[in-house]
Amino acid sequence: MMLRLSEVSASYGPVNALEGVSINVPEGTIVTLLGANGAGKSTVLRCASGLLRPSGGTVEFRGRQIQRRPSEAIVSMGIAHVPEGRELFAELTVEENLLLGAYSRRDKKGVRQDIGRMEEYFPVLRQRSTQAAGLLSGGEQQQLALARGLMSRPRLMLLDEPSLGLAPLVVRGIFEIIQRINKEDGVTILLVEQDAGLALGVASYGYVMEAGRIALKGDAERLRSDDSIRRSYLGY
Amino acid sequence: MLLTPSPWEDPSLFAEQVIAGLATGSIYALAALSVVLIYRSTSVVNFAQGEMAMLVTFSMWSLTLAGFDAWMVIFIGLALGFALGGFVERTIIRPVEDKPHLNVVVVTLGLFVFINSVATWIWAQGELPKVFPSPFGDDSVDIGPASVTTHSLGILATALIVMAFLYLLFNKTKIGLAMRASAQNPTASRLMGINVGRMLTLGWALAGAVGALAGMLVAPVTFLYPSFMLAVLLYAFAAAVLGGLDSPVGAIVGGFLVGVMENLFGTYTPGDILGPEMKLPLTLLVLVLVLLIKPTGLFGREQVRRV
Repeated sequence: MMLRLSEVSASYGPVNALEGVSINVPEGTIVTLLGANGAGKSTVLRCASGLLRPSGGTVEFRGRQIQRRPSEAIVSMGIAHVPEGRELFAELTVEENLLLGAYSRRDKKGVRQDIGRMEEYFPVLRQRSTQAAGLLSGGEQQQLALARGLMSRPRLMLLDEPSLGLAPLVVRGIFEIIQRINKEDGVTILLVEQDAGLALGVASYGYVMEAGRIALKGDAERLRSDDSIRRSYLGY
Repeated sequence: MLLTPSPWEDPSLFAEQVIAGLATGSIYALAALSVVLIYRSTSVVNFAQGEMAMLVTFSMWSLTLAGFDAWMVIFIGLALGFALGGFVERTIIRPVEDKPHLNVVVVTLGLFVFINSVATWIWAQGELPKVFPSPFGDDSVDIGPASVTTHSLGILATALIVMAFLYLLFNKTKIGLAMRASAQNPTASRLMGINVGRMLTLGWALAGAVGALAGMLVAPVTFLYPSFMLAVLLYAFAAAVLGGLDSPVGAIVGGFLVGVMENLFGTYTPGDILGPEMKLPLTLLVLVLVLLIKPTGLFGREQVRRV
């Protein structure tokens, strides 16, 4: 199992954000985490990447417990977190953002090669290589965020709402890339999305969150086709 | 009635004053850099910056009494300033780092008072001010029509070397890139695997070293007493604000501008109307005018962000 959360609880100060959440992400798959705003989806990712320390439960990455490790250590183990709102280094250039993505790596040559690879994946990044990241359009920024995440050569990517604020056509492009990352590079993906239809289209398994708990889980196909689930949880 | 000769009649005076202004300006630039280094990474103005430099300079003064060579003292002082900066961040600033900025400012003010008292207690005995040696000597050399001291040229050269070093560090090394990233977006930096806390400590340490250098280079001119960095820091703040508080380039340009302006205002203000005492208010007037036109300072940037 690539990632396993067992009975994870977490809180922001006095506010409980997660209560006993258990999630499994098998190696090589895309698993999606759905739910309304504030259900706790982003919090799950924050617990997995070490930005937030769970108050209870365990987080296992490839069999090792990581819930007490700081995020800067977790990256080098092979988890890349592409956070909500992308969190780029707005005033640094596109190339500097990519270099920072590879900060935990020591192989200079490999990093150079990977920058070339990213520019193949996302041609716009080559054109904009020396521009400040903050000046890119929303879609370009999302591509840069994905590329920066990939620069650490992760085994697992945590993607938080990659479709947020993007035009439908751009979103389609981003999701094609996500599938390529999964298939061609063999990166396991835990995908948080508000657009359930979109997410279940690429994922093999899904969890639905409600008020800090897992309300529902199942194969993506089953979640997609079940009428009552669709109406009450997925809203389409 | 004796007429003092008008400064306008001596053509070499202008060149001399400009070079002397660049020399003091390089001190302001270094002190301003130490302020900016910290402001960029923590958005905090460290009011104790000058006092930390003073503490180092006094300690080095004690070393010269013990027979240490003037060059040796500069390098030990750099190391001590570096260590002091890092130590202050780790022990005093770290606990309030995630609190509102005002808390941190109050802490640096407290540190200011503390260091000042300690230094007064230790060193303000016997005759004040103390004489601090210059590693460059204080002979005069002629550059064209101007006569300047070797110390002035020495601090100018030293400042330029330090600036070049910092430029290379921040723009050409991985750790420099990590420091810039941490200053901009700490959360994202952690997700990249950067130890943000270590970068903050390093930033404070560098600022401590640069500030200490400014103190040790200006002490041979101003002499040494517990509040000798106060005036320097005042001009340094003016320089930093003039250049833009978040811009190292701005701190340097601002430092040189303030230094030259101060010297020229001191020399060329008509004595019967205003007198050389007006150099500080006039310099600050220029600062206010610049800020009226460009509130972020000459090189300060507005946030680049597209939402």
